[in-house]
Amino acid sequence: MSHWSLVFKKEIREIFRDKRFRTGAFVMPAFFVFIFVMMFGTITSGVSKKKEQTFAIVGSTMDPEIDTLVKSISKSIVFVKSQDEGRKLLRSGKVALVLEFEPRKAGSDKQFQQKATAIFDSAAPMSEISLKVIESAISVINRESIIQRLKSFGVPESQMEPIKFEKIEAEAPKGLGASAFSSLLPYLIVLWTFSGAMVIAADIVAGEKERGTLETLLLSPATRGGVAIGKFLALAVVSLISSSTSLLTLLLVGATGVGNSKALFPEGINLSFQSAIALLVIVVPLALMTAAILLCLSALAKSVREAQSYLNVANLVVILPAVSSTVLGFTGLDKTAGIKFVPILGSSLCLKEALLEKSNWAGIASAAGVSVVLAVIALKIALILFSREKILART
Amino acid sequence: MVLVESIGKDFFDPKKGKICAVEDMSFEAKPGQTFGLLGVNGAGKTTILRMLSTLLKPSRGKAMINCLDVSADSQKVRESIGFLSTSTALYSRLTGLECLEYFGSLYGLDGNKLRSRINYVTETLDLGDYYGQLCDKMSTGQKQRISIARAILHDPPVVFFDEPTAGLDVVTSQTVLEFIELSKAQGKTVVFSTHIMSEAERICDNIAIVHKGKRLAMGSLQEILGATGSSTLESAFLSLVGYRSEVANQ
Repeated sequence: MSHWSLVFKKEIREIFRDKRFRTGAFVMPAFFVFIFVMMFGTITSGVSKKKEQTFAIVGSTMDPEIDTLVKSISKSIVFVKSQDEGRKLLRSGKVALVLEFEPRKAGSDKQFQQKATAIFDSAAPMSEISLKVIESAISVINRESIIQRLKSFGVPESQMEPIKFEKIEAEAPKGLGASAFSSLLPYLIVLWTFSGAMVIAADIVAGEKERGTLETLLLSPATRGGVAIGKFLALAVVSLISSSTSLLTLLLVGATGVGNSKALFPEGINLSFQSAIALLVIVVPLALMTAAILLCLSALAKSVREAQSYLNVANLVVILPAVSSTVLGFTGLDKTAGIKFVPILGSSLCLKEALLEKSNWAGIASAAGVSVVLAVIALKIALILFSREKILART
Repeated sequence: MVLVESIGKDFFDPKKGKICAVEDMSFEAKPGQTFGLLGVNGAGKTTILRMLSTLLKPSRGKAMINCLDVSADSQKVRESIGFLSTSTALYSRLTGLECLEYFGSLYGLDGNKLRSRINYVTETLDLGDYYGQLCDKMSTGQKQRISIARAILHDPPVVFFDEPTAGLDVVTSQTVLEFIELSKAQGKTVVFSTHIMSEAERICDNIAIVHKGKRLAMGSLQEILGATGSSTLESAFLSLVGYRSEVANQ
C-alpha cells in the first residue's frame, strides 16, 4: 500500500472517532439547515396568512363607502378622537395605520372628492404593508369611479384601458421552486463545505505538530508528499461529507414536510438526476479546493490556536463571495460573462442554478475548473510547505 | 553503524540572525555499543539526533547511517533507524495495536511478517493487557512502552534515544533503560542523549560531552575521568562546561 493511502486510511479512522468531526460535519450542518428551513418556513407562512392589522380611524363614524373599503382590509378598527391620539397608538404598536377621512363638502367643487390621510410608521414593516394595501384599495376605488363616470359619458370600455396587462409565468417552478430560500441554500452548502472541515483542519497538521505525532510520522519512511496527499484527501472527504449533509438534510426536510418546509416547498423538492450530477460536479472540486487551502493554513501554523486564527480569517474570505451570490440576482451581475470564473461565487451561483433545475453546463465547467485549478495550486504549495523543515519543525 | 564527520547545523532567526546550534560534531558509534551524547538542555543533543534521523538537514558535514548518507538517502535511512523520545507521541484516537499496525505498514511490513513482529514486541515489552486500548486512555508508562514498540517494530539496526526518560517515573525509566541495554545486547547501534549523569554512566560505552553546540570531550567513561582528573562523571562534566565561570557570568 502506498504511503498516501496508509496516511489517508489512518486519518479517516481517527477523524471518524473524533467527536468534533461528528458535530462539525453531521450535527451542525443538519441542525443549521433545519433551523433555516423552519425559520424561513415560519416567516413565509406568516406572510402568506396576512394577519389582520388594527387600523385607527380618526372620528366616530365613516360614510358607507369608506366603511366598506376599510372593512374589506381589516375588521379590527378602533376609533380615536384626534390624529395625535392615533399617533400614540401607532408608536406603541397597537395599530398599524391611522386613517382620517375628511367629509365631502357639499355644494363646493370638492363635493366629488374626499380627502383621506394615512399616518404610518416607516420603521414598522406591518405599517408599511398596511399602507400599500390601503393605497392599492383606494386606487381600485378611484379607477372604478372613473370607469363608471366615463361609461355615463358613453366612452367604450376598450378606450378606458389603452394597455390590457396580463401576467403569464414562463414555466412552473422546479427543484426548490421560486422560494426566496433557494437563493440562500447555495450559500449554506458552500459555507458548510468550508466550516465542516475547519475544526479537523486545525488539528490535522498544526495539532499534530503540537502533540508531537507529526515528528513520529516524519521519522517513518513515509514520504513528505505521501503524508501531505493523505491528509489532503482526508480533509476533502470531511469537506464533502459536511456539504452533503447540509444538502441531504434539505432534501429530507423538503420530502417529509417537517419544520414548516411545506410553506417553502409546497410541491416538495424534486431534484432530477441531471441536477444531482451537476451538484456533484460543483461540490467535489469545491471540497478539493477547500481541503488544499485548509491544509496549507494548518501547515503554516505551529499550534492549533494559531491555525484557528488563520482559518477564521479564511472563513471570512469564503463568506463574502458566498453571501454575494444570494443578492447578485438583483443586480443582473449573475448573467455577466465570466462571473462563473470567480472562485466560490461561481460555484455558489452554479449550485443555485442546479437546485432550480436550470443547470448551465458551460458555467458549471467554468466554476468547477477554477476550483480544480486553485486546488492544484494550493496542493502544490502544501507539498512545498511539507518539504520545508522550517515549517514542519515549528513548535 | 553511525559515522558522523564534522556535522553542523545553523538556524536563522529574524531578530538574532544566524544561530549555530551544532558546530563541527564528529563521532562514531558501532554495532553492539551505546554512544552517549551528554549535555545540558539546549546543548544541541536533540539537533544532532534530528539531523541523524533526517528530520533536519545538516548545514555542513556528513553523516552516514549503515553506509547511507542522511542527506542523500534520507528515506532509506529512516527505514533503518528507530527513534524514541518523550516528544514523539502516539495518536490518541488509535489503539496501541492500531498504532503499531499503522507504523508497521509505513515500514513496509504486512501480513504474517507484521503480525509476527507485533507479537514479538508485545511479548518483549509485555503490552498484552492494554495494547487494545485507545492511547488516550493509557498511562504515561503504558504510552512509553507502546512508543518503544513502535520504534523497534521494524527491527532497525540503529536506534536513537533522545532523552527517553525525561518526565517519566522511576519504574517507567527503568523499563526504558533495560530496553536500551537489551538493544545493545542484540547488537544494535544505540545513540543515546541525556542530561542525567547516572544514566550515561550505566548505559554508555562511549560518551561525547556537548555544550553550546560544541563537543568538549569524547571517549569512554574512564578516558573522560582520566582526562579531567575527576572521580565522577558529574564533576568531570561540570569542570568541562566551566560551571564556575558559567555561574559567575549569570
